[in-house]
Amino acid sequence: METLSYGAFSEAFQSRLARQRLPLNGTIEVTRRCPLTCLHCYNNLPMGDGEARGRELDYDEHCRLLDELAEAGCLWLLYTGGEIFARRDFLDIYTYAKKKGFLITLFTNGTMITERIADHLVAWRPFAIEITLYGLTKDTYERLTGIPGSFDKCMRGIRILLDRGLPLALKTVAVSTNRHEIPAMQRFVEDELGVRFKFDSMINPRVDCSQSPLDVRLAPEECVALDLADPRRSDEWIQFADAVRHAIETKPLQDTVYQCGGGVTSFAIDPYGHLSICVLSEAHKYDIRAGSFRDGWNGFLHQQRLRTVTRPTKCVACTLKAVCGMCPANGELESGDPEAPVDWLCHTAHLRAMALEIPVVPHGDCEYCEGGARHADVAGAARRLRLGTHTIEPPPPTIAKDGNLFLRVVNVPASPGCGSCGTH
Amino acid sequence: MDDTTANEQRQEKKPYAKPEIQEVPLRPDEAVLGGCKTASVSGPAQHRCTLPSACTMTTS
Repeated sequence: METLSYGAFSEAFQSRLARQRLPLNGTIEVTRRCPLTCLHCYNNLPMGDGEARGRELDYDEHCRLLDELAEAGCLWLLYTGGEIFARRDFLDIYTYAKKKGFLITLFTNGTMITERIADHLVAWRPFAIEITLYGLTKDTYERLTGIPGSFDKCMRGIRILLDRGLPLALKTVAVSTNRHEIPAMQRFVEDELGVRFKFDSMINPRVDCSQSPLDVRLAPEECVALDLADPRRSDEWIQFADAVRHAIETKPLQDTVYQCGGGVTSFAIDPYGHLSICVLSEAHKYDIRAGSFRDGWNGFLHQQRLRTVTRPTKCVACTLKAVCGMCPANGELESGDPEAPVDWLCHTAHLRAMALEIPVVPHGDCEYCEGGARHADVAGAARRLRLGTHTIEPPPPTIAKDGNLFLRVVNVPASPGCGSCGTH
Repeated sequence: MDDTTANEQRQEKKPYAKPEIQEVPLRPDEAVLGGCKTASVSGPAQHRCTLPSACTMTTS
């Protein structure tokens, strides 16, 4: 039998069917409850949140949903949370999905992985499992998660999965509490564990519009310093930016608010049965409990995808989209406006471009572009980064009066209101 | 339907081609699209993604 590589299959399959607008890729949040209390998290709720648990789709509802998704042509599913294993019935839901033939990726923090769970995953092998490692050391890890003992549980979960040869990859979020351990984390995961590692420094506010995660978000200079510290990562940024710029130049972008695959080949469903264009999008949702997935995909989500921009912003013509990460969902969470540029993203993107010598095509009134008010500052920072004069220092420990280290949590006053989550 | 129309319809049919089965080893390290979900993947991990066409939420 002839063999086709997975990469070739996926690329050809998705490219061909993207033109037909089919819901090929779905993300399902089974719960937002989680045993950890990570500072950066955009959606976590306490494990014991009975009100949230009561509203979650139950097993039968998940099965009906999976039936509809299979009928609609969905192939790839991502199960995420919160923490997926916070649900006692998750393996039942997962097994039903496996029997339907979906290619399933599992996102988990690893702390609730048991040998029983791992043995079940051996019998019903997922396409991929990704665990986020919040630090290489116990102190760093638990500084972010806020839960004593969580580091050991996570490492145990990783070991249980690796011992069984399950398809595990590790990743991390680069934040202020762990940025000093990123290079060591990469070496540990790739060299000692022998698995793939990736990291991301993009942090956004919570889906309830709390800005608290931004307290641990890195400064733009810190983000780009991490990029430059890894030549392989730098090269990939350059190649990616070049590919996207070329794509934009040869095929002009539509005037739609969304430019991604959301609503074209992908969708998200929250724990309570609400369909949206992506997991970060809270402002516009469709209740599949009151209708059907097919109606939501063909009607509601299609209309969302067709929404056109209401005004020309500096993002519309920007070719730095590849190194930026700006999207309507981000805009909604940061300011309540899906079209408003997010300054942190814009600053980081321009700094990254200058540091990596990625061409910046003029794209309107942008303070970071040449001639803009902040261009000189960013250019200077890029020069320092290229010269290697920017250093990554470990965060200072915070000492309580009794001499114990504690996690400093800054309470940010609630914003006066926004048009994103619709709850205030 | 007269004979002429029926003959025309038969001529428009494509010749039969036997379906071929290809085996695709499921290797997540070959995934061509990365998720844009927070704290998962962005940037270089999407290095084969062309933004104007698709940006998925999954490893696919």
